Formats: sequence, structure tokens, C-alpha cells
Amino acid sequence: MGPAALVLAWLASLAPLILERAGVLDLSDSGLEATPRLALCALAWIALAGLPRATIGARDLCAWWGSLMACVPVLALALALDLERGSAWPRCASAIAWALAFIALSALAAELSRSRRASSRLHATLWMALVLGLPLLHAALSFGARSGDSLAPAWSKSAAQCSPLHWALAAVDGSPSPFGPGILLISLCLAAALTTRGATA
Amino acid sequence: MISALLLCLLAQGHGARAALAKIEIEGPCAEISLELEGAGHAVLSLDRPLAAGERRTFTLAVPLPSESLPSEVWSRFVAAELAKTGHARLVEIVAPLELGEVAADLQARPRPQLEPRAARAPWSALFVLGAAFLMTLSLRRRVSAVTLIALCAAAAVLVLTLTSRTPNPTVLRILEARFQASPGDPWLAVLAVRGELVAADLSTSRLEVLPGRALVHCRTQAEPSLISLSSPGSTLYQLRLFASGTRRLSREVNAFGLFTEAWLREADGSWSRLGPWPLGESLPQGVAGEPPGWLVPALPMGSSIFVGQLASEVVSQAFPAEPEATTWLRGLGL
Repeated sequence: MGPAALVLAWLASLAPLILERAGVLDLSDSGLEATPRLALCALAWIALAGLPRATIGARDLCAWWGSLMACVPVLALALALDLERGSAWPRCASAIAWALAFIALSALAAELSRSRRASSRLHATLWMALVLGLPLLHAALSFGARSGDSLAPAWSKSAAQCSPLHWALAAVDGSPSPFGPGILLISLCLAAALTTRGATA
Repeated sequence: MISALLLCLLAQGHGARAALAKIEIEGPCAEISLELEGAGHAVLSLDRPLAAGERRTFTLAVPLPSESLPSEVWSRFVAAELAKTGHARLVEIVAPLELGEVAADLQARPRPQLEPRAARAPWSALFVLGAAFLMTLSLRRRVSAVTLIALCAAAAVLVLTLTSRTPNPTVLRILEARFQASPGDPWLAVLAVRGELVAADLSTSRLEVLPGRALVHCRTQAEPSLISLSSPGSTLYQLRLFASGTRRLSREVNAFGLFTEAWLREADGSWSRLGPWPLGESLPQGVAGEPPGWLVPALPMGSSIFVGQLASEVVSQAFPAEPEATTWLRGLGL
């Protein structure tokens, strides 16, 4: 992530905590199994860290690690606030571990794929379709339903659950399964690694 | 007379928002779920599902609408919704507890307001966060440096946030009293809970909700009977009559129970902090000091006001079946 994207991600992830502090956002009625603050903070980082890169160039894994470390204190603050508001410790620990893993894998896939144009295009297509597109498709089908007969099909929900963005949104008031997003992001990383094999590091 | 009318109007402004309904269910059935528009929803879970053809009567908590409707209209609506399930029939809705025996001025006293459980990130943690981010941004290609900065900042933020937590009650009880009332006149016990009230007793108490238009969700477990009421983002109030019995409070002697902290406002408006007031002792000599503002909102002038926090052993004796809650006695005319 470039410095501008990093600043944007940091501000976006901090926004829910600031808004709650100001009394604009109310996250107080989530259950004990939910980690709403951590989930909202992670959502911004997952979305921005995994965005397809605009420029083609050599991999910069030092910058990737630096970007990942930038999110750790913000997620720690969100975790502390969730704990303070009564969320269960094991649930919080598992949520922050998965959030960090998803941010790292999202950013890694984007970083690996930027060394070749074809790989970058493939990553951009897959990211737009699977990470961003599936939850948006499900949301469109759900919000478009006007009666019980026109509810969103079950497959769209199952497919959306594979997106890490959907995982973060679902963690606002529940404890979704992290395995679908985990498999998807590992697949994106593998695809990026395979399609850029031989490129200079 | 005008103030009496105003008090009556204020008292009527708090409407009951849940009641018990007797319903007959015919199997096969394991759960009844009702969506009652404008009121909330009601769910009855049967631990042991009814077999086909089996018929039993159950008591279920149902929400009442925020608008004032004649009870027959609401009964007809609930009966129609129950009929849609194909398994249940309404026998009757039991009218919610009326508080007519309680003096109107006690009913009209402002209900305690509970703060939302919103998290407040401390400024110190936000400052650490900002400093750590700027350092990470400037050193982001030095792997060991940014790792060290991130881990130290994360640890500092965790410690600062978890050690600066402020107590924010989510459950509270206030005993509204009038010390000059006749011995037989009941007082009002108000249990305030944020968001969810577990093990509610609708047969001997009345449920109110603030804000008044919030939806109330009632979940009833059939056997053993357990009613949980929830209204996300709202405060639920369980009101019941409180007979003080032989307990008495006067300036000469505390025959009520131990108060761990107490304040008194004289008729001229001056507050004094009394400190603890043990059982059997006369009113302690106080020093100038005011109670927390939320305890004394808009109470009448020209009369003495006593506010005291009851010791937990007194509370557990007086309210054995209710959830544990910090309990305050708030009375006029000591």
C-alpha cells in the first residue's frame, strides 16, 4: 500500500471508533459473541489493503509488512473497546487473529500480482468479482426483495459468505465462519504467485 | 389542581408495553413466532415439541403497541396473527398490571436514564495511535522498527483502554417513596435495564420502554417458564408496587436498612452529603455536597428530598427474585 492508501485506511478504520465516541454511532446493543468495533475497523483495512494496485512494478514485501503493522494498533484499540463493553475474550482473540490474517493475505495477493500486467489484471478481475462483487450481489438481491416470494436465493448468501468483506460485516453482530474467506484469499495469493513466477522480486 | 391534572397526564404517558397471553396450541408444533407490526415480536419455544393432535394451553408474553388502543382491538389483531400460524388460538390477553394504588406523583417522577453502553476510546490511547502511525509511515520499510513500534503501541493502547474504564450501570433500581404517606400506601419500585430484561415477571409488574415507540421483542420459554424481553437501543423499566411494611425512615431513626451513601436536600434547597446511614441510628450530620445529577432530575421544590443507596444485603432481602442491581431510595418529605 502506498502512503496515501495507508493514511486513508487508517482514517477509515478509526472512523467508527471516533463516531461512537462522539455519540453518532451506536454499537452498544451487539451480543456478547459479536465484536462490532473490531469488525468495522478490519473492514476498512481488508477493503483497502486488497485493492488491485494501479501501477506495475517490483514486489515490495518490506512495504507490505510495514502496511500490515500499521493496522495492528488500531485493531488493538478496537479489541480493547469490545472487551471493555463485554465481548467474550475467546471470541475477541479469534476475531483479531482472523482479521489480521485476512488483511495480510489481501495485501499479499495484491502485492504479488503487481509484478506482471497479466497477473495484475487477473487479480483485479477476481477481486472485483469475488471479494467485492459477491456481497454486493447478495445485498442487491436481498434489498430488492419486496415479498417473501422474492427473497434472495440461498446460493447468493452462501457465495457472499466467502468474501472477507462479508465476514467483517457479519462479525458486527455475530460470529461468522472464517473458513470461506480464508480459502478464497489463499487462492488469490496462490494465483498471484503462480502467474508471476519468474518475475523479478 | 392544574399540577394534579398535569401529574395525571404524565402518569398516563407511560404505557405498558408487554402483557401475558394465554394461547392454546395444537401439535405438531415446536415454536410459535409472531410478528406484531408496530409493537415487536413474540416467540414461544417449547422444549418438548407437541405431537400431532396434542393440545395444550401455554402462557406467552406479547408486546403491546406504543399507541393507546382498546384492548379488544389488540386482542383481535393478536388472535388473527396466531390463527395464521395454523397451530395456535388466542384464549385471552391478561391486562397488564395497573398502578392505580400508587400515588400519581410517584408514577410521574422521571424514570432513571441509563447511558447507552457506547465505548469511549480514551484520548491517551488515540494519541498513542496517532504517534505510532506517523512513526510507522516514516519508517515503513524498516521491518524490525515498524514491528516493534506496532507491538508497543498495541500493548500501550490495550493497557490504557482497559485500565481507564468508567463504571457505566446497565441495570439500576429506584424506590420512589413518599415518607409522609399513610403506612398502607405502596411505593413504586422501578427496575431500569438497558436493552434486555431477562426473567421478567409480567404477572406482578408492568413493563414500560423508553423511547416509547421502540419495538419490544418477547421470548418465552415454556417449561420452565422464563420470559426475556428485549428492545435494542432502549431502556426497559419493570415497575412494581413496593409495600414498605414495617420498614420506616425518619430523621429520628433509620428503621429501613443500611444506606451506604446518602444525601438530603432541605426544603430551602440546600444539599448535604450524609455519608453512610446505619440501621437504627438517627439522621447523620451532613456536610455540604450534592448527589449525582441523574438521581435528582426535576423533583419538586419546597419539600425535603432524601436520596440514599441501599446496602446490597438490604436489596437482596427486599427483592429476592429480581436481578441484582444498584438500588436507590428516593423520597420526599423526610
